[in-house]
Amino acid sequence: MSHDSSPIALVVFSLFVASVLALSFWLGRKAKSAGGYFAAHGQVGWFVNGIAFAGDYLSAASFLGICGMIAFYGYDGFLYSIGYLAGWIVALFVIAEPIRRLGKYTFADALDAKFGSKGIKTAAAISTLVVSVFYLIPQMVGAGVLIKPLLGLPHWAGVLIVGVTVTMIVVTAGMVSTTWVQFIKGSLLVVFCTVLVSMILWRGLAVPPGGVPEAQTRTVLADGTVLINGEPASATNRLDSKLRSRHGVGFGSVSRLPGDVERTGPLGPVAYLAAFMDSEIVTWSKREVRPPEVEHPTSRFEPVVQKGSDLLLPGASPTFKGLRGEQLSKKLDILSLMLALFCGTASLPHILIRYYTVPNASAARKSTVVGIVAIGFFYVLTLYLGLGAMTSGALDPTDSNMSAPLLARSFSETLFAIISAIAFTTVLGTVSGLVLAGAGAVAHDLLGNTLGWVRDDAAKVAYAKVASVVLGGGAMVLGILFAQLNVSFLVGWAFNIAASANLPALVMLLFWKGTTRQGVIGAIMVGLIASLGWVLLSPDAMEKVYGFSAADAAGMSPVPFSQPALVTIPLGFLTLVAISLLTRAKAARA
Amino acid sequence: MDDRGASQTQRDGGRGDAARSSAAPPAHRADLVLFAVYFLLYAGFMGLTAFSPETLAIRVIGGVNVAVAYGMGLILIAVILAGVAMFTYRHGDGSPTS
Repeated sequence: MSHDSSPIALVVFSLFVASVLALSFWLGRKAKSAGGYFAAHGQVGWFVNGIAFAGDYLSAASFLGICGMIAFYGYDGFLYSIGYLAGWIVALFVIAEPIRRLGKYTFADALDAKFGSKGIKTAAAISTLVVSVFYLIPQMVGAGVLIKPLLGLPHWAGVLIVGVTVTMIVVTAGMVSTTWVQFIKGSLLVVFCTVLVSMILWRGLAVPPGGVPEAQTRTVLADGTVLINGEPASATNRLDSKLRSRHGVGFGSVSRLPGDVERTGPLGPVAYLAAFMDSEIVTWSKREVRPPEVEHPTSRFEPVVQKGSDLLLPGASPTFKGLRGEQLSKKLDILSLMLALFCGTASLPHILIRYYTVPNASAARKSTVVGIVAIGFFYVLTLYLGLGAMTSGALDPTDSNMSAPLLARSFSETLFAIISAIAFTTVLGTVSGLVLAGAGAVAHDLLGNTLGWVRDDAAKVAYAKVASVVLGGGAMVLGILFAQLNVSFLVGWAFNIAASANLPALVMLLFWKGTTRQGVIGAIMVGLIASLGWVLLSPDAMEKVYGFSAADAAGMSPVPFSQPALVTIPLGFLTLVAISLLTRAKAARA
Repeated sequence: MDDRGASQTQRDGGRGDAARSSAAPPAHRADLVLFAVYFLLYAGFMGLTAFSPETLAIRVIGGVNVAVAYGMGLILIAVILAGVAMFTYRHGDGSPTS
């Protein structure tokens, strides 16, 4: 579906990016030392750092992906909200303080504080790099998705704009400006989503006139001409034009309200959900019709009336439909994903480096608490944003990622511009955190400690900047190559790998005195290789990355389900314990 | 990566570190109890989701079903536990080290 590129969106967006860059240059003037570059001198206040956590964490996948998934399939997107937030409990009660006490700039420092081993630093740096890259791809893809409707530019242009801007932010100022960018973005996101949800509740639910809408079609002729419902596409004949003229709204509406009223009027937060459950909702399914059934390849968008009470149960989306079946492997797949979300948060490199920007362990804890409050509040909002979009009459049935911005457009053009600009800054902020984490791993851990090439701080910063440029460039290429992949699907993989590689080593080091150097190295490498290998050979990868049919993919894959965490996290723990016991016994004999 | 020599010299220093960080077990115990409580609630929710979908459909408070109430509950409880963590934290434990 095509969208107007709106002039006001363009203005708001440019102002945003310009002010973020200006701020970044201004704050970066003073950050010349390694302490300033990697850890903002350890002098960021806990409140600012806490909101910056929210900024880091509420990535494009959280905001666009979850809202879009709820808007299309109901409850399932909310499962991600629950899992993403639950992971912070691990960060708060298990990881936050010890990791601040042990480390200096990076997660490898903390793991290595006890042993002073090059092997640990190298293993931790490699896992940081792999996870950063896996997490960078979906963020870059998200940037391309956003820029298309917002500025009317192609996907690759969005990826390039984000890549270049981020690399400039990271190269000029490091952690100081990254922290402030995240703080600003985190607060704006929460504030404007609150405004949006208030407007949703105030609008309530309403049934548009004209009954259940008709199916719509989009046909592509051999010469590339696009037909909408059999007529050439134009500004007055878009996918939703006929719906809008007959019913006053486009895709996504209510067909019956409780008590058969026409509109509910303003509703409270609980009453809104209750009213939704007793309503009937028109959702849309897309069916591809190919020759010889029709003359030209056609996408048919067909209305499906669903009960609100069914939409507010898990298992309606393709990702989670296994929950409603009988196959155990499908259920284990989903449980494995939910375990990865729970354990992965506290293992993400760009979250971990934020523990070194505060002065001490107490501030690390306080900022985690602030982060949890802001993030938790936001995730409550996601359910309303998603359901609001589902009934807004403004959905794009071809692109779920656009649901939240289009919901804002159903209220006002200015709000649309602001929400889109915030979503774009969201991508910007998360990407800069990731690039910085990766650059730190390369310059401080690999070049500085493993190879011993870089000794003094000024050189470390210089190398980190070169590494940022390389990482930023690599992320841009991958973002363009993987344009077709689903954003939240890729993020799930990043969580699986982070949890499998990093969590066993972190937890055991903090809580088991018998942990040895070799055990830590073994756990990281086994967790990393096992989860990465599993992901790359999974049925999902066969189907969505390598392009085999679903049936072939299931047959070819050597692993029973797609999400590895359920197996590879325990495997990491086992490896660590086994190697530690063996190496300790050897040391005792010697 | 042969760093046996390096780790040999570091081992004593390592023991010192371990002794220092094990100096604050009571606060840690409270943390781990809160963590265990939350983990059980989360696991319970996932168990229902995977193996007892009919329970999730039951309507509870205010006409909202168990799926929504439990899910929202998990988010609110996380926020409440985070608030509790502010108070259980014993000041002076987290002595600044850098």
